[in-house]
Amino acid sequence: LTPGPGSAALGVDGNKVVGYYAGGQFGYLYDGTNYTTIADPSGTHLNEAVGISGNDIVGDYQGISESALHGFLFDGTSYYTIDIPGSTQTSLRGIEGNSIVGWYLNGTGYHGVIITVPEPSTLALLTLGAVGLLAARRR
Amino acid sequence: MGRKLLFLYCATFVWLVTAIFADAASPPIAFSYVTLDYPGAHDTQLNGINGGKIVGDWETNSSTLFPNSFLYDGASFKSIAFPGADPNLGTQAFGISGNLIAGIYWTPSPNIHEHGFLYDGNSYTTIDDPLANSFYANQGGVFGISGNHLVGEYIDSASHGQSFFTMGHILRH
Repeated sequence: LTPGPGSAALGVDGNKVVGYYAGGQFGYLYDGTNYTTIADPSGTHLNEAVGISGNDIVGDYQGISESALHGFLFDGTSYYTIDIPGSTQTSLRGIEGNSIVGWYLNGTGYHGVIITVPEPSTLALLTLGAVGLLAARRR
Repeated sequence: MGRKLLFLYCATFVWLVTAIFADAASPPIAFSYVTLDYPGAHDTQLNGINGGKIVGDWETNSSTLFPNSFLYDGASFKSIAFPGADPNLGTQAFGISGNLIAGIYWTPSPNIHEHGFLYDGNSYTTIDDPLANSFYANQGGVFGISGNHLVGEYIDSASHGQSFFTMGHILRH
């Protein structure tokens, strides 16, 4: 069951576990049966999967020749980079629904941050509502 | 007029979906954010969220040790500190689930060691993986919690970090 030496389990939601292996080179998702590598396409030598909520995973990565961290969100299909504007580093540590917590570093130090991201279901509901309103107005 | 408005709305929706959820290499995503710093802290980090409650840690002197932890309930901060922890290395809260908080603390000198802990709102319990090699000071700790599931790391006999999961009362390596 082990993801191997140089690993740590960092986050859990139900039976799903996220963390890193190979000394932090790759993140992983364990779904209770299988392991899947979690690595942002831009992360070359460090990827941490730190928080999980349903199918959404957050963490951080470093790009080629970089020592600075970037935050990422993986929604089960695509990776999205999340860097706080004006920061030199961003790390995402936890997620619940569409709320993400973490930290960013700028010239005055480390700062805690609460991030809100849009959900596809929210956009879909807005669309349905608007279409319904338009249909009602036409009658 | 209604059809034009509907067309414009649908076109805008398609553009938004394409822009925000397009499958490309690490594209940016639209988001909003607010900064939450512990009052008087030089540095603050937020580590976990559940039920709108947030745990994190802070420090006053930019040493990057973050020896002080807190629970934020949306209105006020409460200190999270394992009794007797080393004053310099302290306690770090990493995960929260309901009223349970998990993390690590350090015992003070001359026996400095890292340990996992669980806090239920009233008392603190030490959580150490039985395979952790106590030869090493940073022998491991608890980093996440969901219900009665804990996850973390321990240092094995070959000084390698290893993941552990507790699924209920079953410990897995």
